[in-house]
This record gives sequence, structure tokens and C-alpha cells, in this order.
Amino acid sequence: MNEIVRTASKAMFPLILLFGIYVIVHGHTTPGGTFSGGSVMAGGFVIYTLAHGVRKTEIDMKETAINVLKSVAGFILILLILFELFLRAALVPTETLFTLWSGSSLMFFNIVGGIMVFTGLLMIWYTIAKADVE
Amino acid sequence: MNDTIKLSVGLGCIVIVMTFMTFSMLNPAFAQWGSKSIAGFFIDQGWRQLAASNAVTTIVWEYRGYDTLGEETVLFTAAMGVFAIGAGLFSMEKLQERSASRPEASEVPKP
Repeated sequence: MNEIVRTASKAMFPLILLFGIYVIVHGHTTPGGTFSGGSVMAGGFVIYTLAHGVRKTEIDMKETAINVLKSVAGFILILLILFELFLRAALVPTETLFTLWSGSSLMFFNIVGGIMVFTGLLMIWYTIAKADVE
Repeated sequence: MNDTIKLSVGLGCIVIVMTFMTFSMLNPAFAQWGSKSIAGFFIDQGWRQLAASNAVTTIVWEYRGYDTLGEETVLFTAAMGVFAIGAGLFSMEKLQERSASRPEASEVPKP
């Protein structure tokens, strides 16, 4: 891609990631959640890869790191669901609504599930993009 | 000729199943569910029980949490499948290499 697209993607990349993180973290108060936020974050990496190529994106975020992150997120998700009862007993701010620190254990579920969706989509994208290169 | 038979058999199966499903909905046992809706429960009680203003998230991660875990498992499996195919585990070259390195049945020494 040419210089304009590269510069624009480099400028937009952190904002897209930040918006994805916002959608994931505020999943229990505003519309959105794991799947939409994770898709937005993966879309940021897709734009970055299309502008800069797979080789440079690989330097920023390695595929092995994504693989490990995905497995760890899956493990934490199972642990969260198993011990969800104790989690809810630990923090139940049921009187506060529309704030970030509410919704007993939904925030942790949203964060871990968002990481899972993000890494899953990113791994599919990396595999397809690399198959084209090699 | 062969394709025509297959197509007609498939269409016949679809028509039979659809007819069965349609007429089973006329069964009086199904008619009772029309007045019983659980949608109001989630809207009324969801934010009281969980202090979350997003009703969709409360349903997705709380009332049907195990279903969502299965969804994540499907995503995980799909990504792993794409990775396995794309990484060349099942590519034809690897398979041919493996079959070439394997000794033939006649060459295996008998005990």
C-alpha cells in the first residue's frame, strides 16, 4: 500500500484498539460485549496488516503469542465459570447501576471472552494472510 | 438420471420433515406456550439480580452462561482447525512424505 494508507492506518490503529477495549469493558452497561468488541480489535489488526504487510505486523504481535494468549484465556474462562459463585459473593454492588464497577461478575466474563474472540479471529486472519505470502 | 433420483429423494425428505413439523405445531400441547413468555422476566429482574443495565449481556453470560461457553469452544475449535490446515499439518506434501517414509507391508520383517 502507499504512504497515505500506511500513515492513516498507523494513526487509526491505537484508536481502533482503544474503542474495542471500551466496548469490551463496558459490555454490561452499554450495547456491545465480547463478540463485537473482539471483532473491532481484530479489525484493527486486519487494517494494519493490509497496510503494512504480514512481516511487519508479525514483529508487533507474534502468532505464537496469540496462540498462548488464546489458550490462557480459554483456561481462565473455564475457571471463572467454575468458581463464578465465589466471585459473585466477593463483589456484588447491586445498588450502583450504569457505572463501570457494577454488574457482579459480568465484567470479567466480558474481558476474558473478548480476549478469546479477539485472538481467535486474529489467528484465523494470520493463517489466511500467511498462506498468501508463502 | 442418478442425480435426478438423488434430488427427488432429498426434496421428498425435506417435504416430509417440513410437513411433520408444521402439523406438530398444531398439536394442542404446543399451543399452551403461546401465552407463557419469559421475556418479561429478564427485563424486570435481570438488572435487579445482577446490577447490569445491559439485558443482553445478563442473558448471554448469566442465564445461558454454559451455552456461551459452548459458543467460545466452537470459536476456539474453528480457529484451531483453520490453523491446523493453514500450518500445513494436513497438506498433500506432508501426507505424501509420510506415506513415502513408511515401509511397505511386504518389506516389514516378520517376527
